[in-house]
Amino acid sequence: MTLSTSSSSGRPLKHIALFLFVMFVVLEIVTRAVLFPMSGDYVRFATYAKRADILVNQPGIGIALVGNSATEESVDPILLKSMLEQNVPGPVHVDLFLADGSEVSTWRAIISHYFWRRANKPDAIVITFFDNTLEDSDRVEWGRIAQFFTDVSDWPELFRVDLTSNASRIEFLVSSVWATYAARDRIKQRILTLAIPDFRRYDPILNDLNRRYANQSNRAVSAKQGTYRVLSRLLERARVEQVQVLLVAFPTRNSRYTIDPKIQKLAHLTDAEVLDMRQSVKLTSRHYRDNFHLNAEGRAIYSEQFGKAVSPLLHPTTQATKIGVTHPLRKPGT
Amino acid sequence: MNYNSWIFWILFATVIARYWSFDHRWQNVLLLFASYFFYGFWDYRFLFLILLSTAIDYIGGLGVAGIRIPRPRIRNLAFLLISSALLLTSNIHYPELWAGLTTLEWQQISGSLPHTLTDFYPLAGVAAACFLYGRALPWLYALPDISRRKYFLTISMIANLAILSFFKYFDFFIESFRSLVAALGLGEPSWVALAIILPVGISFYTFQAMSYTIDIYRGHAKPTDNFPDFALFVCFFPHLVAGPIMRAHTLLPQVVNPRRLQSNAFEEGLVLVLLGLFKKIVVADNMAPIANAVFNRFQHGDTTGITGADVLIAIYAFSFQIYGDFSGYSSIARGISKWLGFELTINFRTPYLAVSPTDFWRRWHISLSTWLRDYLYIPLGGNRFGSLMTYRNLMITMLLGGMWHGANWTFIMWGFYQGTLLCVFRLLSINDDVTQNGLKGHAYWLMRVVIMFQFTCTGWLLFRADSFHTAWQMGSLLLTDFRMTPFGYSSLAILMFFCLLLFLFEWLLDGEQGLDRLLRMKWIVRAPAYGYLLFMLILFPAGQTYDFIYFQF
Repeated sequence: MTLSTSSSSGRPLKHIALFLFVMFVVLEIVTRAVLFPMSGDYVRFATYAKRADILVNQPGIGIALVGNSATEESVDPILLKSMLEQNVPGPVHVDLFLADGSEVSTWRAIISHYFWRRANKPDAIVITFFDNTLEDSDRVEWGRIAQFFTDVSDWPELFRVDLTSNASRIEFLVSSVWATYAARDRIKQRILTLAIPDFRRYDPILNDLNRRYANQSNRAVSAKQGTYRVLSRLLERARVEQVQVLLVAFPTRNSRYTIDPKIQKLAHLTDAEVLDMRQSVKLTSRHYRDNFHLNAEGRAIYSEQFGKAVSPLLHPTTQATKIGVTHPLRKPGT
Repeated sequence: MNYNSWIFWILFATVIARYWSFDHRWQNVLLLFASYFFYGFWDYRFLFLILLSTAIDYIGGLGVAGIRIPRPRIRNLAFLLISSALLLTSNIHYPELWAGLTTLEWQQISGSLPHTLTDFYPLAGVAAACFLYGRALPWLYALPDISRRKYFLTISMIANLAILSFFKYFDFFIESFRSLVAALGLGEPSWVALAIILPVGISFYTFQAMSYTIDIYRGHAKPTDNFPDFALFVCFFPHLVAGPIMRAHTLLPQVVNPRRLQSNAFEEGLVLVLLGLFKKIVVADNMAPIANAVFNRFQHGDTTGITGADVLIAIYAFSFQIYGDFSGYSSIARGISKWLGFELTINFRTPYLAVSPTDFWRRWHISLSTWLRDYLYIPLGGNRFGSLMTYRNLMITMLLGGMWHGANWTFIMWGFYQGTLLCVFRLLSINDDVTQNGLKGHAYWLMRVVIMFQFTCTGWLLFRADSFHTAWQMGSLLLTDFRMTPFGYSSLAILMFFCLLLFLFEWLLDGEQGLDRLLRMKWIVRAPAYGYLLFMLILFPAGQTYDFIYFQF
């Protein structure tokens, strides 16, 4: 038996189907032509390839900061650059490669897409994390990764390793071809920002509260079951590429998170460093805009102290010699 | 595997793709396998419980009706139960077994097989029960009609309630007993809770299976001697884990007889599925973070800065969360059943437009409230033996109804609260029949709806809170410090953004009852309505998906 194409009153469903099709085509056009250029995040992503090329091809030390909005609002790249240049002879270049609300899967995709695939080797990649953002999780925004940080050549590895559930595979595939679907979180945020009073301030507070209590409830479980497959692949690849990785534990306001010893162990195995900034920065709650984001004053304090803390950890790499710059910190012959 | 997951829809598509090309018998076989697969996806071990419940009520129903099961079929049933007990409950580690078989690692194979005596306890218990019941059946069949009917009914009820009590309430009673003994200063009892995993939807399918035997006993339904058909009646996947609880006289004929796809079933099913997904994914899941943020803060003692207004909005958010969650599941279940040629009963009818507690229970979880009415309240005497007995019966029914929801004192308190509301409204003779004639009539109706909604929300506070202490703290704050905060304003705006159109839509259509009215409208009216639902579904899902709340019941 075939399904009917007519409604009870005999009016064809195909008119409705056509209406819905046209509606979504128009929405797709609007998303690509109007909404994408309106998104600060997406506009920024479009510049990452060029910025990654520039960062590694300038003389001096090139440092890529990878993270989410906490990194964006806690590190002033100009201040950091000047701090580093005070402690490290020669020019230093710092650039940010960020994605709002991202975690380790997105960071690995960014690094892979803009650095390894383009044969770009910065001197150091600094990843700022907090809570369990380095842990494998199902909170991956596959839409953004599909649209911006991967192409078809990445698919074999993605489907073999990263996309572990059918739901994530389907979400990734749909997002690859349907920009509206991929950007639905951003569109939702934008509409709610227009419709809900004070939504920009309210949304992070609500997310913080839910995350905090979810973490408290699951702390015992996650402490035992947390896995770091994505981080391990990221660090291993960086080791093969001979690029130094610094994992920086960010000082959040309320969360008293612990650094899983597995992270330290992984870093040790892959020649990466873990820099614990949780207690070493003199930040009080008045320096925070919310639980994870600093205000201007907090940002200046953090950038300065972060710069001081990170300088001694920078290792020399092959990059400088490749482009003909000898840096005092670099080991002879590398 | 939930209705709000891709994997469910892929599996459903594979079922429906072949379903209508099969004849009726094969359709039932396909649905039975799909239903067991659907249920086994959560925890395959509990498939045995469904099989056990099915076998008990299959034998019970036929026994009550005076139909003897032939000996070979009894043997087959016993074989089915014993072999499924062996395969599903004796602690075989299937992934390791499979890995061992593919690599021919004998050590891995032997390690994956049961190797302690306790692994075989369920199997031994089932084998003993099969043997004893098999021996007792000829004796039961030989009893006089009245005795035989009573015996079979009693065995069926005891077995079903024993399974339900063990899996749902055993740990609760042990913990409560330990607390009581400790509170009385009588030391620490050595009894310990068994940390029993609650099988998904156990209350739903147990109640449905029980109603089958009772309905046959009362002469309201006829049994089936076809075991696969009866098994499908018990485990039909669209409503298996969260209802509606179907009665034998409604669902069984649809299983037993050939089905036809109605000409308008496609669009009706589509609207119900879209509406259900909208209620779950857009409304319920977006309300959950607002409710959780406030309830969790009280639960963890972090109440600084929260006002009564925040509490009230969190309770409103939870009221729409639970409505969207549960009625959404029922709508999806009805929608996909329509595509399979089945008609499930309507489980919700705009409950927040109720004007009294009685009216509320005629609109909320209708299949449970009618179940409790028909199998508990009326057998207890209903309202036939004077006011006092009526109040007693109402309280017992609602207390047990509260307890049906879960093993926690807050659910029992919620049941007590609902029973009290029913009694008070009855005592004050507050009429349900509110006419909406003229402006005055409409205003009075609206006032009654708003007041009843507040009563309902007070109940949700008890239902959602993790303890009395939390509920008391939140309730106290609600009455003592009612200041609007920026958090409260934004939460209220979010609540209205997601719920207002749904509320108006359901109001205008009188819930799913008025679906026909929508389907009769011109396509130019229907198309934007479907477009809105789809638009919201694609663009406004919550950041996190939540399990259906009623799965735990």
